[in-house]
Amino acid sequence: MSLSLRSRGTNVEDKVQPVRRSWWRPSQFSEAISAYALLSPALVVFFLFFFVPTGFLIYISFFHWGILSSATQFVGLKNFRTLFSQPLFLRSIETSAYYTIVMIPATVMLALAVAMLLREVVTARRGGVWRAAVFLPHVTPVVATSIIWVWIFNPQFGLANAVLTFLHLPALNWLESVHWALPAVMIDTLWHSLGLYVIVFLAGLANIPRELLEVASLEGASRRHVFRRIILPLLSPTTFFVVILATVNSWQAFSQIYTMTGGPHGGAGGPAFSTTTDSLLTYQTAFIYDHFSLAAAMALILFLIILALTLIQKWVSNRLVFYR
Amino acid sequence: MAEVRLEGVTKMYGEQKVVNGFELSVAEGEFIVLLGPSGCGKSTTLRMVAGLESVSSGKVVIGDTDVTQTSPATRNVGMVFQNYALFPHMTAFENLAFGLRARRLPKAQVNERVAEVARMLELESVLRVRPKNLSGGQRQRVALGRALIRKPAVFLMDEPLSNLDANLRDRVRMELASLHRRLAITTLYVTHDQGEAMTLADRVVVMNAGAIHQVGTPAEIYEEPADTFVAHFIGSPGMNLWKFDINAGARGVVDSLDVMVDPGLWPESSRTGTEREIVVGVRPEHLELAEFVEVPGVRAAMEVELVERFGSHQLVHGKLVGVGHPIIARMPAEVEVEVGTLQVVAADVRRVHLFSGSSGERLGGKIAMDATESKIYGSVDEPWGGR
Repeated sequence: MSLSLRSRGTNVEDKVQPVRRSWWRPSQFSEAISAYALLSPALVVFFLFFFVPTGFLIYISFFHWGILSSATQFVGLKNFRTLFSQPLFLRSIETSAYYTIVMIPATVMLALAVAMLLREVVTARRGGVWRAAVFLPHVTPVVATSIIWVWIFNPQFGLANAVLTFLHLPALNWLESVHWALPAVMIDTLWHSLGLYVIVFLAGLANIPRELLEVASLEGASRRHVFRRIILPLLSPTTFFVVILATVNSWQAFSQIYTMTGGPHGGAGGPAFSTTTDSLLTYQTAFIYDHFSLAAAMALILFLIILALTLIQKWVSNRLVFYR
Repeated sequence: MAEVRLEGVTKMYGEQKVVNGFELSVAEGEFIVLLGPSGCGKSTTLRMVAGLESVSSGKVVIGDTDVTQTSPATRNVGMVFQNYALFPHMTAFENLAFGLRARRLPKAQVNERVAEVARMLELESVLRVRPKNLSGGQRQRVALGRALIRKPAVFLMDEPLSNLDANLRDRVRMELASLHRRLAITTLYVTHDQGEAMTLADRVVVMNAGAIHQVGTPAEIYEEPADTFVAHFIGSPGMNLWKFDINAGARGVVDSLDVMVDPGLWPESSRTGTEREIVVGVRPEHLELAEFVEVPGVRAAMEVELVERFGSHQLVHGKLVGVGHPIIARMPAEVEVEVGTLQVVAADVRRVHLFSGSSGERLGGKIAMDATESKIYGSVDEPWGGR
């Protein structure tokens, strides 16, 4: 049986039209044009300063190319073969890996500890002041703070050795020692970057519903139990984000190493290449030794390493990270 | 199961007093509902019993123990939160077992207790499921189970039904009532829904602005509201409340409604001439078209402005002719009332409430009516029959 719907004498069925979804309808087309027009400044900047340099870097890594010579010569994988035959390059990868492996757990544990402390100990009224104090180093230029840390690590009159002497520990040569130069850079980096990670962790902690912690306290859970069974699992997306961020920043660490271990007057990455990381070597290869193609190949390898690590972490995170 | 006493409990946030001198004694196994509008301090009161909020002054006693300064874990209370507060990364089993595991009970005992509670709340089939994959009702039951599994002395519930849809809410409400009948755990239940309060409670505590307005059985709260706040808050829609000047004369005649009130009923202030107003209250469901009221009653003419038809009944909104006070009458669906017409409505005199115009408090005694004069009287001494 068919049913006819009528309203004030007009058949409603006659008025129902199928909805057109064609995007080129005049109104939708002008909407799309407006959207792209508004996006265009950002897109142009992104294209000019991200895609073009990246594409050009990939391009010259397969060529023999100099900044002052117009001639380019395709060399295939020769640049990559050259790199992997150089002990210094392999050592720089090793140094970067060591730096990253130490920095990630140190960063995560210290930042989480400070965030928990800030959240629990600091009163709401003074919370902003403490958060600002922790975040302040991060907004200070790396070069400036690194110069201060050079003074702190000065073997004769630096604060670091004064503290060690006060604690009856032997003084160290810090930046002049093959063994202690990289740890000294790590301490500076940790101090400088901690604020950012603490703020990220604080945001993650604030995201954990208060009721969950209240239930735990009603149920008689100890602080350790709450931390292990509730806070850590619910904080896992934040921790994963911090790990990715710390990995990328560690592999790309440059300014503090450059400033603390030599600066523009030479010797950066020393002593005896003990602080020469992949990114520092890339810079030196390009701008000190004028081998742009080799440096481009190094940068590409660095990019692939970071990409691979990120993918591995993503794979691991699928098993460990809990998303609500 | 334990008795709960709140003795002069006050909560201050800075200078602001959110709970003011709360006095309540809850008997063992009693179901008490704290009812009031948002921000009236009912949840804060519950949280002070749980130990989740500190008490600014006063005492919280559970059983024979003063727990005012003790931690939540030592109070032996179970609590269900408005949003259930289930651990999202744990299965239903792990959520139920959380408290037992935190207290390091042996594994076999944990499994046994979880199985027992799961059976009682019909959760056996979803024990391995995480909260996000549970339905609203199942989440609600897991939260209940988690609070019950330790067999707490006091059960606290903070608006536990507010996240459920209407149908499910009715069902879970019945389940809660039946659960309480079976377990008889002393329960404090917070809600702003009077339907929940009236159907679940042994006694209702009506709160507003941090203070208790009335404590009583649902019937007492409905039949004899202590003041105009309770009168208007209880009922859907709330009681019609009309404030009138008291005219000169021994009996204190009220304008327009043809209501007379015995001056003996007034507070002292009115007799000395300082109080000149009275509030007359009639519930919408007690108003009918005058032609259908057979017993003596109060009559009022109303101008109909809006008729809301609900199928089972209709709400007739309008204004009292002459004074312009708003009036709502709840009438059977079959009664024909048109917008723009004048209707005379009436209520049985036993359904008419009188409140002080200045304090809003209920005036004592019963209201009586002089049938011969068609006037209403209130009398402290003469319950019914007029004078």
